[in-house]
Amino acid sequence: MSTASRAEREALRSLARDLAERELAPRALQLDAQEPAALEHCRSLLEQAGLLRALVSEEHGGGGIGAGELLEVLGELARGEAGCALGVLLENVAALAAQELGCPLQEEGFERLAIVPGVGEHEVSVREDALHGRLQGALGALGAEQLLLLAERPEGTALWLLSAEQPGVAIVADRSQMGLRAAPAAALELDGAAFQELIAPQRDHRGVPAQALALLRLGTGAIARGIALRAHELALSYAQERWQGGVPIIEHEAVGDMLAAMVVRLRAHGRPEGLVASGSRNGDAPLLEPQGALAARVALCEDALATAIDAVQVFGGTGYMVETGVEKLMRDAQYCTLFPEPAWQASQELIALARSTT
Amino acid sequence: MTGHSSSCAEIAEQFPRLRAPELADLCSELQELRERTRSFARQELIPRALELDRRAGEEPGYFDWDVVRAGARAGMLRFLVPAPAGGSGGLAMHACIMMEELCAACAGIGLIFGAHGLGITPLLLGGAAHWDGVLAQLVASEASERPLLMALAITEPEAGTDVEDPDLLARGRITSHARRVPGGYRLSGTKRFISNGSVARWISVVMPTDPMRPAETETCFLVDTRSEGFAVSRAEHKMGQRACPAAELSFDEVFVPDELLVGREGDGATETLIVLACSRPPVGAIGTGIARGAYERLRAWLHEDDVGARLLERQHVQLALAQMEEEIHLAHQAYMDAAMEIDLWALGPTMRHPAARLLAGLPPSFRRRSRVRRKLLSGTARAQTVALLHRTTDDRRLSRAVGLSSLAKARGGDVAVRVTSAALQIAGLRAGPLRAELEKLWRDAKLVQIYEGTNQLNRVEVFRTLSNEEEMRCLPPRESIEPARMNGARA
Ligand SMILES: Cc1cc2nc3c(=O)[nH]c(=O)nc-3n(C[C@H](O)[C@H](O)[C@H](O)COP(=O)(O)OP(=O)(O)OC[C@H]3O[C@@H](n4cnc5c(N)ncnc54)[C@H](O)[C@@H]3O)c2cc1C
Repeated sequence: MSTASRAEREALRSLARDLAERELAPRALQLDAQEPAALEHCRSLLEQAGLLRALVSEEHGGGGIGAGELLEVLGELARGEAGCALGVLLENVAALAAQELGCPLQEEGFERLAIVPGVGEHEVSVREDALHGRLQGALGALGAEQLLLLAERPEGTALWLLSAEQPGVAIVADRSQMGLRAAPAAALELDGAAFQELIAPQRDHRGVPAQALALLRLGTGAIARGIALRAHELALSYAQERWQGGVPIIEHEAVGDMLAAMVVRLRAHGRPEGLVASGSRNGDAPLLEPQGALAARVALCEDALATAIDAVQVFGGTGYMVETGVEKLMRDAQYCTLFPEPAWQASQELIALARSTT
Repeated sequence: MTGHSSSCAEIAEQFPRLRAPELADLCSELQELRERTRSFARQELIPRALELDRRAGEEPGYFDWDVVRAGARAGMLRFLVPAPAGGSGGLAMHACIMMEELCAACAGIGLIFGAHGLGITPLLLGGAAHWDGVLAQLVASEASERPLLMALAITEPEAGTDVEDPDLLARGRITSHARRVPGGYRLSGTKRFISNGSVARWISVVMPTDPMRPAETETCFLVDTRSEGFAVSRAEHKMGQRACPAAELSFDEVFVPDELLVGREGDGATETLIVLACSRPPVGAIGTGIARGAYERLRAWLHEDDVGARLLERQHVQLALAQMEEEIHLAHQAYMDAAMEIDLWALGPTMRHPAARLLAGLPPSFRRRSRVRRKLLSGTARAQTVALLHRTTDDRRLSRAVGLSSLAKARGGDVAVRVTSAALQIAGLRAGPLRAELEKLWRDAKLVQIYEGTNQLNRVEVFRTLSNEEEMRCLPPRESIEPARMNGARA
């Protein structure tokens, strides 16, 4: 548990809830359409609320909250708009890693950070001390000033720092991004890009790269849970308003069953913040157990997808229409199952982790 | 490409009464149709699919007439039009094969042709009445700049599932109304989510003549969208299948002359049931096509791309592909079963009946003579068409067809969602252009679980007709609710 008092935690939660309800949810469609004004407005609100650097220690200009509180915040924000919540997650994880590895976070050029996980050797290779290759579907990378790449190498995971403006780096908007669009994705085209290796490849589960990845996973799980909660709320309310066959549709067991399954999924998996180990403290590195983070992320994301698909089904044709905002939950949930890696690859990694610990 | 062919042995086993030469003809016709549609889809649909989807996503209601013209040239608009009206005379099997092939390329464009076929289907049950009117016009328009498209409008804002089943209809809140007036009817109300609604020239519209008794008085009308009082009140912004616009339509006292009544007044609920029995297997085929489209694209990428090739070595991926193959195969079997049931058993005997053949044999010039045409449009002719249905098929056979059709539809929808999602999972966010295609297919897939009755409603029908062996009242009653009205044939 973080040392933040109950009252502080509650205040943070209600700040996030308020932002989500008043600012993000009403702009969900514009954010989904990547309207620049809506993206900027929401980002600046999140920034003013101190949420983009919430994990960074106060001495480095951040909010100094713990991972558990951040996960709660993400869940609340995602109920309003999941792409914005992902943006908050990416900036926080990037900033925390950068802080821990001594980057000058408060200097110019470090205002917008993004972290890109799963950079494989076949996509980006190192030749003559520079990076070459093309990496597609990097969520939240568009508009970032500094990029932290979590590079997967045979010896373990490294962290590399790149400036978006430097020669050899092109960041190309990913126009076809289907979900979590308020965290605009890009393809990174690297052609002899100089980089700084913040940390050499390592396998330490307590190390910065592994902890960053675990937080990305748990954070994605928290966002997925927020999506599922929203989907359930919307479906439950619609099922009581919409009549077919002379009764509210909730009275048809086909609909009741879908709603019940949503509750079962929401209740079956605890809140992801429960997985933050007691060692984490304000301003310090959160301590996340990689296996738990992976398992929670897989379960929460798959559940959210199933719930969002059913929510659209409860709405019938209405749910398929963009303006109701329900189909967006489905697209966002699908993207959660794909980030930071597809759910099946996460499951396979779970087995690898289980073997390494036995 | 996985070539799911409709095997002769499969058909022969189920329908031993079909004579061998007929069987061979049917099989080669279907095979030829599949190949022709596939090559059309590769040439005309695949290159357009992503761009059209993007454009219609930004500009709901956007429509590409070029693709319709290309389809018209390839015979995609006449596939359900009966041969005597100049069409190809296909029925469920033909529609299914076409839809699977089109939707493996692009379900949005496929739906343009599917919704057009859906609009035509009620006319097929109306006997010869519309052969020389709208149907002949459709065929004649194929070479024009603006080929005529059709649509079917049954869904209303307050009644979606309720209009899909006669028992629910009786309890539904139907707000549309077709009021009888001298020489015809005046239609008022709103229809929602109508595919092709904003681009169709003719729409088959179902409305009750007494909204308090919709189940008994639902009636199908053919509406000219140039009529006064007709308006497209809204273009829907859809998640997927975007190339085909869906629209809300408003009817403000739209006049429909008696001659554009489809079937008889009051037969709309049973007609809808039969129309849906015919259209649900093709919807199952849409789902199968979408799933196949995802599977084939993924497979090609796994074989051709470096990243993909590495993934293909993983057993997880191999098993996932095997499961997709299984799902697609079974979905295909389900829709073919249903379509064969309709074509060869439930409605085939009506279409092949000597009386129908006799009518078909009359030269069009003779049928178009005003006296003959009046007769074909008369209440007597409409009553004879219903009598022919009663002689050649029955509620038991039609109920089984309803059940198999619903089964195929629900299965196709679920398979589409599962397979596209699984393909997306394997490809992941890094797959670039493939990812964009798979995402579109996944968005397209979700609709298959919703339209043509939600999967829940369809499973209720499967329970009733197959699990519970219930006989639904599918055939229109022998007696019309107002026999005297049409006998004068005030055309
Ligand atoms: C893109 C699109 C295109 C379409 N094209 C056409 C078209 O061309 N022509 C046309 O006429 N219609 C069309 N439709 C309408 C479509 O057929 C309906 O959307 C569908 O029948 C469901 O109706 P609904 O949307 O009103 O949902 P509702 O009927 O409101 O259903 C909401 C939920 O309640 C459930 N439910 C309702 N009643 C029952 C029950 N009795 N038992 C169990 N569960 C029940 C449903 O399964 C669903 O989960 C289209 C729809 C869409 C989205």
